[in-house]
Amino acid sequence: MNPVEDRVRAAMSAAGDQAAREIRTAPPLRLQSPSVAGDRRGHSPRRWMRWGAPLTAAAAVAVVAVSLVVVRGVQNDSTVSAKPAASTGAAAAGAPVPDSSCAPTTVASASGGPASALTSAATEVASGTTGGQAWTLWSKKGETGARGIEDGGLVVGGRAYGLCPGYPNPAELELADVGGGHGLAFGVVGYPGLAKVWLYKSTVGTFETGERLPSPQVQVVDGVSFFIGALPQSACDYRSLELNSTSPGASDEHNLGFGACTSGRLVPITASQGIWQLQPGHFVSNFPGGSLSSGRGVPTANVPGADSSCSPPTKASASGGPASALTSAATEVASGTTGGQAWTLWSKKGETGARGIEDGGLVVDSRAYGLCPGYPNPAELELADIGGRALVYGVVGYPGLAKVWLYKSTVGTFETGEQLPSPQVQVVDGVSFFIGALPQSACDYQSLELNSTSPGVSDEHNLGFGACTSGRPVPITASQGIWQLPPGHFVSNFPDSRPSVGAASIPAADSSCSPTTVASASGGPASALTSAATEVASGTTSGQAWTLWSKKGETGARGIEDGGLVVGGRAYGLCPGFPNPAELELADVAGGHGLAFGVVGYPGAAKVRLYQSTTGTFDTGQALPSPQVQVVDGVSFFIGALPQSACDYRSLELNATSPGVTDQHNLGFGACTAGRLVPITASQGAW
Amino acid sequence: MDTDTPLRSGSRPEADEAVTALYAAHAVGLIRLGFVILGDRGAAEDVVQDAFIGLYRNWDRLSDPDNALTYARSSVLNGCRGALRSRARRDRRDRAAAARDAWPPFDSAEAAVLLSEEHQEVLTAVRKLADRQREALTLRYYLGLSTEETARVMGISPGTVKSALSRAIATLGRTFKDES
Repeated sequence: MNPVEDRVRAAMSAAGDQAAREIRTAPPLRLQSPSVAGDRRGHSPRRWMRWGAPLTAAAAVAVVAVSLVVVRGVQNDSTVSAKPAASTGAAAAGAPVPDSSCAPTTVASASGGPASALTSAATEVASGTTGGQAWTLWSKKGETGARGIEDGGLVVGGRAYGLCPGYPNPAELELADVGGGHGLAFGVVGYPGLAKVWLYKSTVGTFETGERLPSPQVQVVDGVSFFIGALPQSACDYRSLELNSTSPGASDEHNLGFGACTSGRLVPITASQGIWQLQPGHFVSNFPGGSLSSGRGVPTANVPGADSSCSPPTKASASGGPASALTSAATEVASGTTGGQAWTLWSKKGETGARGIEDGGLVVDSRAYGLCPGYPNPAELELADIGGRALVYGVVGYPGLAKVWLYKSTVGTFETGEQLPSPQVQVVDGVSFFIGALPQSACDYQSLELNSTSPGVSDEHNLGFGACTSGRPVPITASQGIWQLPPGHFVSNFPDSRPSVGAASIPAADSSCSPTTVASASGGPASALTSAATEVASGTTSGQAWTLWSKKGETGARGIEDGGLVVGGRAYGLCPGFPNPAELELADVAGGHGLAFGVVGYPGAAKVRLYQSTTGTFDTGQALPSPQVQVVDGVSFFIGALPQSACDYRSLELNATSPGVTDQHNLGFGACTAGRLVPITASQGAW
Repeated sequence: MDTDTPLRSGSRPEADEAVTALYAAHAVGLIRLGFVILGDRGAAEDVVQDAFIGLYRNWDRLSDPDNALTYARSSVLNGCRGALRSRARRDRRDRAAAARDAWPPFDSAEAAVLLSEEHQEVLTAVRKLADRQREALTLRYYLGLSTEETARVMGISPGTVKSALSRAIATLGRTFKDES
């Protein structure tokens, strides 16, 4: 393939990933009778959400990453909610929604006041009852998503409670003492979609999960997840809570410490640290390690000021232009010489701190360079090719003078390879600005690791870089960070060494495994399947002969999932919904024994284990007999009989390990019918 | 998978059921396809909606229901083509509006952040290709369709697909060379 094709393929792939992250649902299909439809021509409504009264035909589709669930139509134009639990999987962990600036920061001592100040400036977006207390949730007028909720608040018993612990993190929690002897924990997970939320007693400064607390209620409000739950004890009894959450595509951990409680108010947050954008389900409860066991006086991380919003982000191709556009709207706040080149630093007029600098920029040789790589992280870095050499510069948004270390690294890790010369660092407007020249050309760095320690807190930021262009910042192609670590507790090998793995052979981006397996239509005569497919494997399981068919013209997992299984002359589909790397179907075909079969789409022979489980978790309960596995057309097909009837399994957990990669897939099942697939009612995966 | 799709009491239950089921299975994928071509989710949703209304209207004339997905894909491509042309006409008519409201490679700030500069530039260049070249590239490299499948969706011969792809790559190569 020539380089142009490579570029097109890479761009299409990235666009596809982005589309998969952004588009998880389809609006209702509103078909009209032909006569009405004909009338519509010429004045087509341009946005479905603007359509007026419900029409007679309405179907609503909600695809939450893995599970495709068709739910009952829109009544009164309300949004639909999927019945099954949230799903994770196919979409890679995306960046958090960059719309939470979380101002004003909630102040515990001012919380619990009359609700009118809040409700007059906000809109009610949800309500419910928790622990016997009615509550309403309010989103600030003119704002949406997590930002609106965090700038709004919660009303309980006529009193208002803020919902913004400090720096805008993807998963926030407040603890309030609102009476009744039970602490009230509530918060927002800012990633799109329905999150699963777990709460634990913990120890400040760790990510330990101690006693598990009752799971809070979670609902999607304005596209993000709001949760609320009553705790077994008084709010005063919790010194630290661990909030673990999994949204479609990403998991987060947030450990919080709490100070002295006051009746009717929020409990002040005294410590906060988080790990964001983990792979779904990859919680690291013992992270950062044994050295942080409780009772050793671990220094707590400061909660930084929420002053970096960094919008719009730096566009590499537009950077490096004349300085006048920048300097006319900004104020010079620092200057110096690095690598023989004089520079000045500019803060946007009307702004301060990291926000001002990131909305401002750097001027070198009369050219302006942006300083906002994307989502507002506490420690940012840009790499630019200026005057033929690499210049690296950035901001650490925590208060005070930071120490900054730079390393060559590997994209997607936190590895610290060869240490690079430490940049100059100075405090500018309360935060740290750093700048340094690197030994090689900017084009020579594929990835950099930025480690920084500010007073009370450390951060790690790993960045990947694309193709460099002379006189411009190098485009950032990857970014992941660990924020609010205890000082000096860098974890270079976190999350672990990641072996390179073969790409999963999953169906095309627009394939929902067609035809999508429908339980009620399964178990029909095999001829419809076999006439359009090719037999690729056969065997006997629990005394029943089976054959496996791959759709003609297709190969690998796609062919098998678009084909199916034939048992006893009957055809069974093999496509639980959205094309995931590890799929499973459960069928009631064999007199008292469920038949589980599926495909692991990664190359090579997989080890497959099945467990009884609980829907919506990744619990591995009782281990079930391991199915037979064979490589078919490069991927793994498995099939096995279960000890009990298919009707007896409400949830199964599929764990599969292919060469270099492990997957988990938890499925929930509905009512079974003899001779048919058992309908899948819930699905979530960690790939 | 168990479905609970509401069906209305129309006079064409077969078309109702088939189109609704097809929408349930493929709407998201097709909106993503439109989004990749247009860079605008709202416009992509409109195009897909129109495609399914067209499919519903013409269901009785569809010779082979198994080709419904191919028909829907073709309709989405046609709709995207129309949307791009409308956009280009509007931009030519009102340069000020075009400058003020430049069509972004992707329409959300998050997308802009997550898509690298390099990828955005490539996608912008792809969007400027001739219709047939752009569509062939998208079907082959985004959807991963074979040449034959691409030909069926586009309603042209496999040979024409190959030549469209070849010309598209050549045009992009010149574009990238000029920009570097």
